[in-house]
Amino acid sequence: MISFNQVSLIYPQAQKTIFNELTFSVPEGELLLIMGQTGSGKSSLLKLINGLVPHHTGGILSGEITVAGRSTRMHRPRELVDLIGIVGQSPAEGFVTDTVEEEIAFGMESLGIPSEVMRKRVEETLDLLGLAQLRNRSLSTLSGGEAQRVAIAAVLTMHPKVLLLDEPTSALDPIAAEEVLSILARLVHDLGLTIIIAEHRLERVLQFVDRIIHVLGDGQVRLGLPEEIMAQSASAPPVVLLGKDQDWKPLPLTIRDARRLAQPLRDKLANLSPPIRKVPSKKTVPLILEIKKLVVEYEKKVALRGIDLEVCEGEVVAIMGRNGAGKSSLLGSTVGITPIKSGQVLLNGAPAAELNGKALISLVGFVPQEATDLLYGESVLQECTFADRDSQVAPGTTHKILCQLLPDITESAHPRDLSEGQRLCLVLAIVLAASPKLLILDEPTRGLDYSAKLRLIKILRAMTDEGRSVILATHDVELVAEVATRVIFLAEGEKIADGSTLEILTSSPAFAPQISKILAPGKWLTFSEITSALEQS
Amino acid sequence: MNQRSLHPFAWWAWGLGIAVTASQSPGTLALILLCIGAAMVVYSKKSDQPWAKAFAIGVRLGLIAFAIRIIIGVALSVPIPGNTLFTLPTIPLPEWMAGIRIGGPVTSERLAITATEGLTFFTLILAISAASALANPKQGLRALPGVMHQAGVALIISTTLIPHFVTSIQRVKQARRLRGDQQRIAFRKIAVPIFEDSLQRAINLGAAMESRGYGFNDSSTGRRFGSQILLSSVVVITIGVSLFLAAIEGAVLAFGFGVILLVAGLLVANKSTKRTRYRPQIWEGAEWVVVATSITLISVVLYKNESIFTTFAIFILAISPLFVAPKERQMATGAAL
Repeated sequence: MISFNQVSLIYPQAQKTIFNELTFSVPEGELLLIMGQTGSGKSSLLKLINGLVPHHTGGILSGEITVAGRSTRMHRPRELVDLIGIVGQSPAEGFVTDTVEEEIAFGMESLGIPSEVMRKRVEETLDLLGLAQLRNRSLSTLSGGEAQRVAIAAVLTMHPKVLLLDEPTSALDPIAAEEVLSILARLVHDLGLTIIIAEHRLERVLQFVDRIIHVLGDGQVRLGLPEEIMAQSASAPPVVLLGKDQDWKPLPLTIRDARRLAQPLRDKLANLSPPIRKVPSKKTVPLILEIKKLVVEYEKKVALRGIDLEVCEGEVVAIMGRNGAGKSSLLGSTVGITPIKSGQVLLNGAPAAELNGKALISLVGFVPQEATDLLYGESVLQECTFADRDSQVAPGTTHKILCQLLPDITESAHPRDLSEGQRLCLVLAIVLAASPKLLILDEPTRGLDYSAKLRLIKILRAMTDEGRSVILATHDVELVAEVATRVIFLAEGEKIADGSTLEILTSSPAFAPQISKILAPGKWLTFSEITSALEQS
Repeated sequence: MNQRSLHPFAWWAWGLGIAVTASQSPGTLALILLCIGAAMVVYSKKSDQPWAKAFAIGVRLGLIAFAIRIIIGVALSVPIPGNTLFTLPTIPLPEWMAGIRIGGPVTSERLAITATEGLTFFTLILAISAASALANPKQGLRALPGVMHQAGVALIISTTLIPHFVTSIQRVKQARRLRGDQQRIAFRKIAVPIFEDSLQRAINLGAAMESRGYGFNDSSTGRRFGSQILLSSVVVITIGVSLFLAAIEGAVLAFGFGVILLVAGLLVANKSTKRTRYRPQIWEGAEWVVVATSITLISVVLYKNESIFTTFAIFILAISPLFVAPKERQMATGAAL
């Protein structure tokens, strides 16, 4: 279906070769995963297939890429739409019209498909993706998962043979991600579509894929069966890490495979107990944040209805829940950017909305969902200078913190040219310059690969050791399992659960980390807990 | 849920019908009745979409126009003899401006004429805003001939960009707060990130449209030929209109030739864009009735018969969409489902 012949790609003005003489082919009906570190070229590889690279982005391409016999060299992306559909990283940014139905029909209108055929295809696609209920909805009111499904539907109506998706699940909560992935699996099995996904949330997609392309970052790729690639790769989901550690053969990729092999391990661990996480108690440690009966409303919608929350020093609180459950509104209220209807938000006893400047940032550091939201400088160095001045610290402080987090950063680089992981580190450095007592992170692992995530976990642990507190809103169950001391669940603007990480995560099947699914009923959350317990025994 | 809306062009025909009627001085009572009729139709048929607010804005604009007309009419005008109500102090003007004066006696006749003219302005503005409040602008753009499709898409995209622009500004303001930046507002610090945001969004949107086949079937030669014919038709029509205004012979000939060129240009250009429409806007009985009543309305007023019967007929014709038009489709929100 897709074949690469001696393909090389270089961007002008870049020293690095993105791809060097790639030769491989993808047969029809395969579900292929592209994995690799951020910035290694996953998206470029996807865009090469439909010709967006180099037709739309520039870059020097040599070699030949053909899809069903058609060369991307000779055809512009718009001439390949009947063959290839692509869904970008943030589908909402690619929407052209304003309602679901019109968006789905947009591509067909350009192709000049007769009106009756369009009607039929729209109905079929709405049913296929379970969107019939949303057909008249305005696109701006859709949740992340819905937008993703509409974007898929919008390309499917052109009956492509190949579907390309760039990080389809990283912005989604586990349940919405599951929905999208199972639809993709159905498209491969029922319609024989060839699907290629670039994704770094391996724990979500691994069970669905037939083969993996591992982009190594040095211009080479490795193509193979999931077991082969996983056996060699350093970044792997917990289930694979556990399998490798226990020498399980064949290497399990899914919970089911691992559970079948895990009986001896479960017996061994039955006598051991997981290390107890020290949980600071409210009686002995001072409170840093106090939220009382918080109500937040936007135009017609209630975002938060009467939330109470207390966070004391040294706690790591994870806030979880569906997209649109009110997580971001809650976080925003702690720094006074969410307008409050009623209730109180007290930072160290003072109302958050009334704090400003140095007084605010020395209490709370906020890392928004899009890390770029906090950046307005034109180079890394300029950002650091701004931060030093705003935090009223000695010049160079921010830069020093940044070097600890990220030793090999180019100071003259534009913040937008950094990889997602590098950008997060830059924002963290800026925020930490004022040494805030409370750090707030909104969806920090969205664009992070495993190594960047490990670095983030280390940083967060170091912070709590210094007695600072952290609040993070995230869909990443594995991150929560690693760092959180307490988990809060929000649904429809209400707090529906609040308790220790172990208790909350193990009690809900959708939000349980992989290790706890494998070792249930044992109360284990992370791979590192198991290794340290086994070492001690 | 109501699936059907009246064709936007039918709403425009209705609005223009009222506007033309108002401009033909049908009498004060008829003007008032036209305003009431337009308001009745708007409030019973409008949707909750953003453009429905156009009517309220139109009312305010109309009131301002009315007030300005009255002020000008009272303070500054040619003297009209009649019943003097009160006298304003006169401001002397130079000799060469004889015939105009500022201030002076205000007669009831003068007040009545001014009020009627103000009311005409008000009705005109109201009619146009009523049509724009009822006609779905996006459907209207989609119903334009294929040549204008690209301009239509560009307009639709730019309307969706305004909210993005607002969020960009908010985002930068929040970032300043979150970073404890208390410096004076620096233009560069705000403008650069917003510009970067918009550029990024435009690039993303361009890539998405490209990879979804936008411009797939456009044959550029055909379209260029079409637009050349269209351009020349505009020139010829302009010549025709000028001839007509100058009362020189041949105006009708030039005008007719221009119209033929216009139709030909549209046909050629349409043929070169092989674009189809999903759910083309339907033109059915209701649309025909609305257009027919609008034409009747204009004919009635051109008849120049200020009897109570004509005034009544004007009112009935103006509110005819009340009986035939469906209610405009409402915005679908999460709550409604």
